[in-house]
Amino acid sequence: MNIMNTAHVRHGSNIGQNLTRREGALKVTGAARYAADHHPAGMLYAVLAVSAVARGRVTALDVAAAKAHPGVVDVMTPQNAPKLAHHPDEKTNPFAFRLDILQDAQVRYANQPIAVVIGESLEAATEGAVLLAPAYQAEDVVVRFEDGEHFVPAAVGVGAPAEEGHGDVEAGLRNAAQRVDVTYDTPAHYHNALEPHAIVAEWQGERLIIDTPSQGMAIAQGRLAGLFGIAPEDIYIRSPYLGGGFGGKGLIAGPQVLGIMAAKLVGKPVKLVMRREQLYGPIGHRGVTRQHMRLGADTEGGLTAIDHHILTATSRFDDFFEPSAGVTHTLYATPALLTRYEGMRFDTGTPLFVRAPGEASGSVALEGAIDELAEACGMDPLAFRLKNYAETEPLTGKPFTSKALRACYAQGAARFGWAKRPLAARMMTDAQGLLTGWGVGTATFPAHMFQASARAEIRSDGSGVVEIGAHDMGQGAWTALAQIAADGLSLDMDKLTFRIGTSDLPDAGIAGGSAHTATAGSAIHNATGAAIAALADIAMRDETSPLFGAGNAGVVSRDGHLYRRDDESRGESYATILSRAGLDSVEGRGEGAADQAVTENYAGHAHGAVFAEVKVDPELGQVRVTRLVGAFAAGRVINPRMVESQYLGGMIWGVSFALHEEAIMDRRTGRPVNGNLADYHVPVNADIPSVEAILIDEQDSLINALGIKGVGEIGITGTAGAIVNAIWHATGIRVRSMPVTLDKLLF
Amino acid sequence: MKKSPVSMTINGQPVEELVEPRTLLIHFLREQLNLTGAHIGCETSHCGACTIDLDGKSVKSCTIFTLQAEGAHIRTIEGMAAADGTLHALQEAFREKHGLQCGYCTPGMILRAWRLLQENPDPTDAEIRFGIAGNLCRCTGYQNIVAAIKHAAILMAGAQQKEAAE
Amino acid sequence: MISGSFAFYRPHTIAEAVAMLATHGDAARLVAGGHSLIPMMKLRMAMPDHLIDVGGIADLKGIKRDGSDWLIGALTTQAELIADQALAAGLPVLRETALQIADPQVRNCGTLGGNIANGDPGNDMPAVMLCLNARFEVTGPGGKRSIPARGFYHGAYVTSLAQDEIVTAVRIAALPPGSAAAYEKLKRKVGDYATAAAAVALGLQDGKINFCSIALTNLAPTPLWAEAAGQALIGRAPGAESFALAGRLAEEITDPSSDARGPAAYRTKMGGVMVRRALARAALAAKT
Repeated sequence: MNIMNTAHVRHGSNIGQNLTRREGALKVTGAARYAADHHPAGMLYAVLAVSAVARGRVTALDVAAAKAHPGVVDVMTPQNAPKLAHHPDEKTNPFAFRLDILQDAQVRYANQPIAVVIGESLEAATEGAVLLAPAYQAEDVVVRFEDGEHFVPAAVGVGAPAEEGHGDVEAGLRNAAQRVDVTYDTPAHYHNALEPHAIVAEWQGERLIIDTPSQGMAIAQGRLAGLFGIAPEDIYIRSPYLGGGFGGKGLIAGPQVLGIMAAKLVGKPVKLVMRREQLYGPIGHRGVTRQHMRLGADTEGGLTAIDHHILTATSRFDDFFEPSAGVTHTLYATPALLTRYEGMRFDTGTPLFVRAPGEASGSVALEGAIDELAEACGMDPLAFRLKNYAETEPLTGKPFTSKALRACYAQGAARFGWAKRPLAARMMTDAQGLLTGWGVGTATFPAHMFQASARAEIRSDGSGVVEIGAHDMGQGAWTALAQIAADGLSLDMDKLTFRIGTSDLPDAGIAGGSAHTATAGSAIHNATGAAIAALADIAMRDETSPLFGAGNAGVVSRDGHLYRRDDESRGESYATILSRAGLDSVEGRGEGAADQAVTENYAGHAHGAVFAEVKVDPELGQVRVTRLVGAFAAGRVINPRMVESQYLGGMIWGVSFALHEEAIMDRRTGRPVNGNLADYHVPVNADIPSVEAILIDEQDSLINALGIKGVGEIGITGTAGAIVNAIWHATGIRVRSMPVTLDKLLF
Repeated sequence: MKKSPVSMTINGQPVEELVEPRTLLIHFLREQLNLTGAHIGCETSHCGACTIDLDGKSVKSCTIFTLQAEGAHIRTIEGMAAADGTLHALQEAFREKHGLQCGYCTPGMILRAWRLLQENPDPTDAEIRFGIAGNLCRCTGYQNIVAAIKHAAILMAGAQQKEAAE
Repeated sequence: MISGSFAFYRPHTIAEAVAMLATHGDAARLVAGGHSLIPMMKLRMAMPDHLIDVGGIADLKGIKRDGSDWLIGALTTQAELIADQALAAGLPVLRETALQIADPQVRNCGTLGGNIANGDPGNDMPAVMLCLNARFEVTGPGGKRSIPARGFYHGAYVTSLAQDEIVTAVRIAALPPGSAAAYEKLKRKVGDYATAAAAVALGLQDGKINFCSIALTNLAPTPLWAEAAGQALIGRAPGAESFALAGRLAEEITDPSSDARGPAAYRTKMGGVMVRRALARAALAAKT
């Protein structure tokens, strides 16, 4: 690896290794403490009271009854909630989504927090919340597309345009030899990480200490500092372990702030743990979409136009529109392309980032529509996709930093046995009489880079320290980033002290957008490079060092030693250099960020191809995915087993997207009908087939110094589409409404 | 609310406490005894993150009132490793075979897998899958969990053989 | 959430338990395995002031033969039903059904008594009891009585059991020789309640059906005994045609709700499919 601007070369052997999780021992012994596992001295319990109506006002709360219950210490309502430095509806930045934290009696969605009861025990606080017996003035709700007006939003996702495209789509469709005009519906999804949101908050004067699961500690510090009118550095967040995030813990949520406010109110540490059913509302969800796809192709099966129209819903009080158009911008070559959004306001919480926001929902519609067009053209769906392979990014014309999608298609197809696929639907039945079908979907996800800083240290005992405020929600940051750090310092893992997970460490950016390893990894790469450079500098100036005067040629680091690049037989250990110089340690700091020149001139995406086999019981309409093969190319792989785990986990979410999950709202009351794990179908192990991920080699020298692209979200994309397409191949029926439940196939 | 005395044995240690009748066993473990390895993931007895071993059976401790466990012998994740810290074969296997990501379901999975292997020391993949049907995982897709349990079965059989030979 | 407050009791005998029920009346509930009641208490859909834990009463356990009848203690867990070798050989449909209920942890706690007594239309055992013409042995302050399953269920959570009575055992007469039973359950996922399920028992003699009993799970506020559907098969040859007839007749008595498991029409249709598939399996087992 080269450090930019110096001639040094660093060697290491940890990147690319299948190391087991560093925090594995803590997790398998129960010693890893998640937020709700903490019990500071004097701690009280806080329980949310949440709204049973979706729209209206709280007209009464029986605070006296609650307070009279033994063990109840206080009740926090809009009347006595600690004053905030500014109203939580003020948009101080694009990520400051509006929070419901007891500013008034208004109710904007079901499960909105309306009070907090603090008690000496969980039992007492829970009883207090029940005794509040809220009364409401309820208003009519809107939770369906047909029940309200649509409008063109100002922006979608985070600041993306509501309309983008080029070429003449209408002409392209008019002149097409084959056309499809179809609409795909995707439902709302909730993250349902196994760990509910929780916070243990303690004020020490004006200093705030919190244990809470966070995918973005620095951004949380900023938000909380603004809300409470204190300095960000006076907020200490501990989040070493998250019980899953999936985007739901990226931004601080209202209930977490309420825990902090409760601690302020009672002057004692407070633990607030959300119950599963309370998570359906205040912490975000994947917005529901209706996607109208119009595609045209010429007589050879070449696309002539793609028109992707997305209708999606946000809340009444804030804007986030699920950005489903992204895949159309980046995947298939077409002379004319148009993506347009319309929005609606529902009486729900504000939708937000859920694993692969935009890409997941857009992918199933695009892959389904592409498949339908392939069918109209009489072409094999894989051949059709290859025919319309994009050599440059379709929306912008930019070249890709790297794109190994052809290898993904080829290797995935070969492993799956795609070549034997009959073209027509309903041609395969197995020995038990189950209809069998094979489908394909293309997977893609942008290779984002955010901004991060890191600090590295080399010590006089020859060990190293690397610190960065990175986040491990299960994706393996503790391990993968440590591998990068160890190689960055040319040390063995056991000589490295590696710290993440607390907010006093340098800002690593949010663990989201599949960007964390690339972003934080780049910062670590640069910080360790700076430490090595600093160490080399000391040696190169020291007349008694074998490295004296090696300045122009540079040094090589390996196994805790520096050697001259111009004569690698001459060198010495880190420990020797430092102790001779009389120093305890040497430090290096570094940043990780996107290279603006690359971002402006290139498109950076990870790619994949997913192949699915389904079996359908024609009498029951029951669909089982029996085989799933995904081949993915995402640049350099830091830890193959962990990367594989992310692909597998993502593909499972894709199965779930196609067949299982949907959040159902009661259209009269606006309340979630299935706000629990009994009725919201998170896949159980019997739902999951044999899944295989193939890691395709891909070198990318442009995307960042380490050549890393993200892998956490791409597995969903392509998979849901592959399954939906396989269902068509088995049954001849196109189901365009997710999830594909039994009754949709029969009725 | 008036508290009642309760006593039981947890990880070989006697426990005597006062507890409200409506205190669930999971909360007793986590809030009164600071045994926070068992986790809470739902409110409807589905996810299995709270699974412990009670009188020789895998049970969901969120669906048992503490007083119902009077006199019981309970094992939690904190009792799986040896006194000197040596990991149990299951713990080792979950680690080696990447049977965990976020780790939240892991203590419940391990306790369940442990009892499963007591009852059936050489299970097939299908038997493992059926046996852990009461434990949800949102991260891994279960494949590596099944592999970990399979691997643990082999390790435990090997250890038993070694013991028998000695 | 945390349940409401209650006083907790642990009677040692059936008589003690009955006396407690009589004393506290409507404010008391029995808890056995607890995996129906405790979730309801956590939802605050059940709020007893007095909770009587019968889990330690030895007289409520045991799987035995009484003549040719099976007599199964109400506290027998689903896991115990599955593990009992004699039961697996002599009345395999109970094991088959138990394996389809919930998940291993729940089966370790959930009892047969609880499953048949609380009147939850989603429970699986009631239909099996209707199919097998089981009787529920019950003890109250006035003494013992034996209630036929076919007269026990009146509505969702409404049964013949008086507030001060406790089910002590389930009595199931052996099936006629040459018969077999089967339980076929369609569910969205492992551990779910039935989208539709059918319990059937069928007997063959000289290639014709001489005995047939069909019951349905979760297709109405109560389990349903499809008497006409079973009767219609008497004297017929087993096969696709007769099974289809039975399925159609069974569908006619269903009254399922439309819910997350599917629209009502779909669930009814699936009931018919479950009946046909269960009959086919029972016929195969009856032959051998």
